Amino acid sequence: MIRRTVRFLDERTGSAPLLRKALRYVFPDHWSFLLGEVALYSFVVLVATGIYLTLFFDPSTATTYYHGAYGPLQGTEMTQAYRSVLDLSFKVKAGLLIRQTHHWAADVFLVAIVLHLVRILFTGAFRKPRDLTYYLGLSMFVAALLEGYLGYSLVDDLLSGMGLAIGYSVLVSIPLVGAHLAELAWGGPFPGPPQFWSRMYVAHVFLLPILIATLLGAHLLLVAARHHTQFAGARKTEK
Amino acid sequence: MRRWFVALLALVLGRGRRPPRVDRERILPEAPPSPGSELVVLALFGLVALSATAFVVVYAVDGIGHKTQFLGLSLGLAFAFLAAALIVIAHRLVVTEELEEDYPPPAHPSEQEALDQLVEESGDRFTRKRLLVVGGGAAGAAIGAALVTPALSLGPALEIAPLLRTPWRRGIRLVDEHGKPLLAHEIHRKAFYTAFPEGADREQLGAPVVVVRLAPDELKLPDGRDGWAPQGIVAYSKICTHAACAIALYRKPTFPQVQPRPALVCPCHYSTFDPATGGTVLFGPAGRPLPQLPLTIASGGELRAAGNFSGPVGPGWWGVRSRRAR
Repeated sequence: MIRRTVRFLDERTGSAPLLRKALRYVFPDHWSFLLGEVALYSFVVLVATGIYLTLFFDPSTATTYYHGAYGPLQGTEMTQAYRSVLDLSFKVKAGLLIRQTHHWAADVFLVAIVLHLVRILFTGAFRKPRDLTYYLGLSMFVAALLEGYLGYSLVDDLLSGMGLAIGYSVLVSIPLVGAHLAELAWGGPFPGPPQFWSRMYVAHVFLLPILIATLLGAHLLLVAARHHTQFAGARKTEK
Repeated sequence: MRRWFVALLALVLGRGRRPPRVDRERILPEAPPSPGSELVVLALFGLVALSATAFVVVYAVDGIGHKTQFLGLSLGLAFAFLAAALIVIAHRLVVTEELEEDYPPPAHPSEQEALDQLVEESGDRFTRKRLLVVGGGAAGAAIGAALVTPALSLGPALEIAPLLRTPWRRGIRLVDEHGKPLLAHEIHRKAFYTAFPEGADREQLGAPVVVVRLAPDELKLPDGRDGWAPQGIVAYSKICTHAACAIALYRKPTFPQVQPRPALVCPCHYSTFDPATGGTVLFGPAGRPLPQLPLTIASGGELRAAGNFSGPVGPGWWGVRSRRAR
């Protein structure tokens, strides 16, 4: 069975030497090398649960009145976006589970990235020849922060509004160009036209995930090309 | 039942004990089998299947309370058992080896040399390289600029005016959140009111104001604001000049010993403004005073705006202090 599969693959892709090397890839035996993998798998979970959420979420700021399963908000004026989140949480079976998984995976994603960065920093793994890998990782960190901020904002509850107001304030406060940048991003002064929601949405579900996935691919390729660092020890070198 | 179970175990565990092929040398080191670990893995796999099935059952059966919690518990357990099974497999069952491997060569000098030569020789036919580079650079920059130009349509990037616009004009009535006009005699001291311009979009930053009444002799408004506070009633933008949060707290004063005067406070980062002196900053990260809205009292006792704010509303940006609200 194994033999047949290997033959099938090798004869069509010529990948046997590569696969053989991959199976015996030398991986340092220390738990801290798994932090990056935790981040990687959180990203996979985020994409999977995120796709599910897009099937129910409505990125619209049109005003509506809530008449759903959640009692305390009966008759409250809100946007379609927030109403679709409430319906997803209280009406859709397993919806709240997937939404909370998305939320917690996002937290784990960022925590894992930070701990991974700390390991890289304190073991000196950011130096040449792994500096490119490091910068790719830092870019992913920034993209992940922005991605998390957008996800937080899209819900359109009270916290989202405050968060967006503060984000807008941070952007306008950039010297010289801040006001212009903010007007470009928001499509005018805060809170901006309804199109601002489509902008956040397409950035959150398409542009930033693609960016992170691309950087991630390059990051992993570089890791494989230059190999991991090692902790000091008998017969271990960094050369 | 027990015989079936033993038969199943024999089936699963009995496999894999093929006699070693003598014709080929092992790549990986030899390690003894561990039937106990295999049993543990089998049990964990059983628990995975059980938990995953429980997830499907909880999903399908209506009338189960705390559905989300049970869904999460069953799926979480399934993954936890799966992880445990994989850990046992990795530690106890998969043959592992300790390898020593040199790092890949840090660089390939001869390849670098060849690349350099290839690029150089490909360009042999050019005689005016620098001129062509300048020309190509100019063409590339122009086409790049042309391609990003449509992005300017995203917003009025080159205009500052939209940031200065507010809905307040002379004569506009102050209304509460239900649209009811604010009356001067209904504004009490030590209380805090939020008002909006009648008939305007309330979501823009320039719309909401806070209204408080102070004793007229307490007021020390800046020069040029005579008559802005009829009967001691003052109105300020409700948007904090630090990070655009809503000024939602009125310290009136709660602890007279340390806070002798009333103050408007933003709950986000505790910027504190003095309503008696034109919204000057008493404390916190805000960089400029709250913009004040001049008020008049109309014949019916209604509060009306007597003009626009004393300065631009909202968070600060480059040059904001030299501008006026429009």
